Amino acid sequence: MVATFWRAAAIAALALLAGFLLSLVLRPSPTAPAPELPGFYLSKTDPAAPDLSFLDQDGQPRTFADYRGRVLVVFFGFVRCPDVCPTRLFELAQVVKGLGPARDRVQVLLATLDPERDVPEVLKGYVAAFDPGFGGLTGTPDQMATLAQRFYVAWRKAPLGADYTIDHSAATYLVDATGRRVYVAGSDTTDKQLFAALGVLASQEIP
Amino acid sequence: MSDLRYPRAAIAGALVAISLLPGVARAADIVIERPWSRATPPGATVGAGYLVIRNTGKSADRLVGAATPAAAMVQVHEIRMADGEMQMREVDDLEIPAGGSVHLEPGGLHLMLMDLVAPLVTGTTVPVTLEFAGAGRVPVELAVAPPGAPGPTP
Ligand SMILES: [Cu+2]
Repeated sequence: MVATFWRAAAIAALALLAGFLLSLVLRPSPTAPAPELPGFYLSKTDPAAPDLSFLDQDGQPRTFADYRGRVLVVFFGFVRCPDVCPTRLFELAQVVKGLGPARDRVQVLLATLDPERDVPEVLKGYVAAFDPGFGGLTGTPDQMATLAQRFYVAWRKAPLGADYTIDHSAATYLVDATGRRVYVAGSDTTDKQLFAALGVLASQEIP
Repeated sequence: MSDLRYPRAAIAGALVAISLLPGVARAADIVIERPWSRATPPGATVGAGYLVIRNTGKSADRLVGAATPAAAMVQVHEIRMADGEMQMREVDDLEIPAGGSVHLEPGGLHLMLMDLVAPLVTGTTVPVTLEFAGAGRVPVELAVAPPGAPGPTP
């Protein structure tokens, strides 16, 4: 009686173990956990949201899915920004120059908050002055307002004499090469940390 | 008291030396150092001018205006961080304290060159006339560095 019980128990345990092992093999591969990137935190932004669409610097309609395979560095600004935006674009050009071969897997994009003035050809000439590989995102005012809102960018037009300027938060955003995750730089994130984060994201396997 | 005489002489000598350096303008007690700008990419219709204004006099002075043939208008602007936003606002009257200096540099104060006549080109200079309440008109030449450069080209 006792021996039969133990034999049954052993068979049951083996069956459970086999089932567990089989489940590991058969289970659909889970998405790899988001890597820890010092200086950056994972945003709730979903770049694949169906209402996020825009034009690139050549006037082509785009979504983030079109950039799959490349890590995006997105900075919100505008062409008639004399100080903050040129400073940042110059710095970003320095960072990507240092990446070496990984540079081909990184795309810097200036997303304009002034799409009425920053039409594709204006944006294209502007960003190219900092690095010939830089691109831009523009579109209708609605498209760009939606994009800024999803990225939690604070911005508004402010009068400046007879003209206007645009107050805006100046964070740097990274979209990973799967086009699924967005990382946001903190206010004290260094370009050294950005460089390291780009190295990690650019070397990720894309399932 | 007598021990102050030599440092004073040294300072006076240094000021004379500074006033002889290229890129340094001086009218009465206002000394301008490191005047520079950045090239403007195609499409940009505004530029920024940066410099250090030193007041060697015994009374405060004020920068009340500026003009250049390179742009329709020049204003003094300040970039400041408020409510998590980078804001740019006009500064009407920039005080230069007696014996002190004011730095116009990226991320802080700048001369805003609005509605440029032509793009600013790396390696050229832009003439600007600063107007001070006390010192009057002070001409400066902004040396144009590449777009977005952190400082003047050495
Ligand atoms: Cu300004």
